[in-house]
Amino acid sequence: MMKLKPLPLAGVVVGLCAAGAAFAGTRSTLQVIVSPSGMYAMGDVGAAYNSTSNYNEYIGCASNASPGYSWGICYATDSEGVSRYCTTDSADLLASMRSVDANTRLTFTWDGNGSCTTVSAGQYSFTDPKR
Amino acid sequence: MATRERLAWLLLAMAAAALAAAVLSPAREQRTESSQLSPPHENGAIGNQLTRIENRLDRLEFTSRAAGSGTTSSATIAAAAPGANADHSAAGTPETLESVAPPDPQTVTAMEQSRLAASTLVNRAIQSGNWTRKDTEAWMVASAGMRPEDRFALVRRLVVEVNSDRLKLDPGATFR
Repeated sequence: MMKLKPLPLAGVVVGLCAAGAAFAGTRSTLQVIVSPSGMYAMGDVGAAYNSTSNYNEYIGCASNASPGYSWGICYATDSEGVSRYCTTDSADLLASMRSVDANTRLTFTWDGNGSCTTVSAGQYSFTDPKR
Repeated sequence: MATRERLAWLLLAMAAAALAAAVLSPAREQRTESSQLSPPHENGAIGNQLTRIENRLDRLEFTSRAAGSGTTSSATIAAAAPGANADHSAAGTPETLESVAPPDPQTVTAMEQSRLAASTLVNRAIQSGNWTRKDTEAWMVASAGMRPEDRFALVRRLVVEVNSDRLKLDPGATFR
């Protein structure tokens, strides 16, 4: 009876592990970026949460609904502590804000009055979940 | 003879035409007036609704002033409000506006007090250029009782200050 030698066996194991890693799918991490001059902010909610930078990096949106009146706010702080906010009572932008969850890659822009001009919330397979 | 008979008939016909014109002309004028506006029942409903809205605005202004001056005239407001409602509901028109009930005077007063407290907090923070965690706690308390429109307006002021780098947020401090 033929016996497998230890070295080829180890090679098979390593090969299988490598194949597993190759089939994991695309992954992407976007830390929070705040551009005061460009008047935009973006980042992954999960990546901000998992961030190990020395500042309280965060990004997200909140909506406030009352009978007859609703408004929302988006906010972002990068790893250097630069914060920007925007607010809106536009139904279209509020709908986008409400779709933000822990897996969202969020981008928002604002004008000189602090009003949101766009809110883009995407849920992708490649973003980091909260750990 | 035949000519005289014809003349008599002609005079009779003219008299009848004049009478008919006299009787019908006011009705025609009236109808024209109504159609220029809209059907009478619609005018009545709109009029009643407008009166109700005006009445509520008067009451709201009155309660706000009472709250602002620091005097409590809730009893007077409470007595006036149902009376004003009864006047209009007695007209028998559908109460379409009643589905959105106005807040009671006590709630209006509480909302105004919350707005004043939050506004004072925001003014002080903007002056100091710093929003602390203590401000966050005070904001949570004050803003919880505010009208959403008022809260939104104050948040917008803070956002403009933060985005202009005139207001710094301490770590963990927030106003959203």
